[in-house]
Amino acid sequence: MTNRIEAAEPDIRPMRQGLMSRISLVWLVPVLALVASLALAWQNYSDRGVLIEIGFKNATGVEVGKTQLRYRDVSVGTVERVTFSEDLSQVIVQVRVEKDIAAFIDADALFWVERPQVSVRGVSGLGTVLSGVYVNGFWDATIGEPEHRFTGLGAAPLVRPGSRGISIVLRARNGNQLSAGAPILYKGIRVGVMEAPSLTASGSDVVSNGFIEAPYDALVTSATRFWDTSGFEVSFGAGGVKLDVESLASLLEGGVTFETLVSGGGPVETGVTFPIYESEAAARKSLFHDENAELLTVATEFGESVGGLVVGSEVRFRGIKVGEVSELTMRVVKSGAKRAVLLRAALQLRPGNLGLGQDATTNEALVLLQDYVVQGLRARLTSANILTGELIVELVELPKAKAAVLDLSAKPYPLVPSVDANLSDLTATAEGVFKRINALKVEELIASAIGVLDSVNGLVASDGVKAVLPELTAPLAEARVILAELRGAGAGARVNATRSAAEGAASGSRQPPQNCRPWQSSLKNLRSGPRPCWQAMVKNHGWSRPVSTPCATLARPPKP
Amino acid sequence: MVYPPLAGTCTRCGSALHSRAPLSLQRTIAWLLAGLIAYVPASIYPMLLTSTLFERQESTILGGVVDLLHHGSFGDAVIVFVASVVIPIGKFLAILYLVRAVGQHRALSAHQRQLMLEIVEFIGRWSMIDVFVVAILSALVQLDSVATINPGIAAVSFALSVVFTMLAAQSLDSRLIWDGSETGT
Repeated sequence: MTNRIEAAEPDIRPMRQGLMSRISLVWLVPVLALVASLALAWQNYSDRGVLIEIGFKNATGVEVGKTQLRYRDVSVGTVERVTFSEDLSQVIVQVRVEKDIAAFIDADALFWVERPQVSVRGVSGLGTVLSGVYVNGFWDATIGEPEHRFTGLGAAPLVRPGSRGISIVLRARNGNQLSAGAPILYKGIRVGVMEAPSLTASGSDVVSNGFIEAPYDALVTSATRFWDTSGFEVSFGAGGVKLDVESLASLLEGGVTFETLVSGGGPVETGVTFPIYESEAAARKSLFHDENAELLTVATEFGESVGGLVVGSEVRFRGIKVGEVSELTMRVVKSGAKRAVLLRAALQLRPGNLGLGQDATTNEALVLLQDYVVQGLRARLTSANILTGELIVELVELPKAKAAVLDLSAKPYPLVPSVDANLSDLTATAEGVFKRINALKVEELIASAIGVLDSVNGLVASDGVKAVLPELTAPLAEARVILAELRGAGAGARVNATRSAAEGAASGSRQPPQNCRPWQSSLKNLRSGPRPCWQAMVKNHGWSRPVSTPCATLARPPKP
Repeated sequence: MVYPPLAGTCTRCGSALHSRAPLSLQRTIAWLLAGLIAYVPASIYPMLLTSTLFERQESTILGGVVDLLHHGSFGDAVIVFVASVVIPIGKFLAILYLVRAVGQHRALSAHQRQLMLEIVEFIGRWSMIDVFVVAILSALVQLDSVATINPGIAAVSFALSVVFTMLAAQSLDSRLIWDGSETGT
């Protein structure tokens, strides 16, 4: 081979001088690679996302490079850095958010750290037990002014921004039944949630924002009433004991339920305030009077004890509630040399309930009341419940009562004349009955009864009695034999004959005839016959003691 | 071999015949450059995307080596380091040296340089070990949320880099090594 190459000198010519032949096409490859690499780098840089800062009170479980920012459970960013604010009061979590999502994160965005949570309502965030916590974000779908600095929430918001529904304010006397996250129920179905309660500025009431989700928000109208369903309610009435428990959740963390009890309510606007009634009954009652109606306050004075009358006790007129007792005070009056204490009860009456219609004013009601009093209307204490001793004020019509008028000049309220109730009698009678029951010596009676029964038991079980029983039959048999003999000998007839003869003889002469003697002696024998036998029995068997002991016990009067 | 002798073109296919591969050095350098460029993202970007139930991890080549060292797997760390860093970079340097040394007298004789080129060419086909590992892992570990391994962009870059380096080694006309060498033939 080599020989051939050596032998044949090849025709060597220089290469053609052309641009294409001097530069290799392979150069395109590194150029393309460079372009691709740069494009990749640029893309990476431009896709890097926007850095936002979220301040948290603490950042339990947040890890750099690992903890995600999630929106609707989809990861949209990663925590890049965790630092402190300048005054060290907050933990600043810097999150790199995907670019296309970052545009939506504006001022109304909410952030909180999702952690596992166990509450009465259930377990949430269970996934974070394994995967670690994540930062949850929520914002609406409108693009607003971009914001880069946020303050995180301590806990998940109860109402997500942008959710449809109605926000209302619930007002209650105390916050016992209100807690953040407590459910708002409608016919037992959870339709809303309450936020953390807060005191009003004056401190008199507790208010809590509530949110009722669409479509249930349509159920809330101006005729809607809310009442407390927290805990359980035990009511004791004519129908027996009634236990009401709304739901386990509301039992433990409180809750309110609502219902539109009458038709005709108008739509309400967001932010309207509703009172929370204590119970469904109270809510229903409230329907028949407008909460805001003017109240007519009058007073009445009682000479007797008003124990059992409390603020809030009913005032009834012909059996219908027309108002309630608003305050109870005492007043000292001088009657001659003596001083007497009168108890004054202020009564708040609802003009609407006095039969004047819902638009009645207090003046109209006062005029009406004046007329009523002239016709004999009086205030009287009446027992509402014998067992609890609860009292109510009843406006009774007593046409025969001593004439009186409504004292309009009385301060601070017009004074309605009162009559004494016959409550005291009832109380006295009841007291007497109870005293007598108390005086009964029940314990002693029972003790002696137990003693008697013990003795009888002892007697029946004693050996003596057991032994006697068979032996009793022997004398009985003997007696039977004797009786039979006597019957067979016609003893009865003979005795009768003897007696009549003897009587005849006696009537004839006091001396019995000689031939009567043997009969007499046999009669004596007959009479005394069984006695020795009994006496022997008692002596031999000694059973007089067991019998005599209970007899003595029974005979003895009970110990005082 | 050229047949018939003295002919400028191939009688079978008609293509021009060259005593040395045309533009061999240029092509070698171009491929080498492409390989180098591809090697940059291969070392910067993650090779493996590992997501398990608890976490999600992205590991680059060097990061993986460091992780292995931390876990005490010294041997594994050395293997990965040699296969993914030392050998590719060694190949780059070797080819660069060979290109520079064409037609010059160097410390290494033409024989040694020829050997070097052969070694580089031989190693080239075994340089895909990293890529194989990534391919096998991502094919095997697809257990949904429990554990998933996906190849990262570095795997592609690394494969490209290996391919480009192999092409660079092949583009180098070995006859150039012997040109200008007294020991010729």
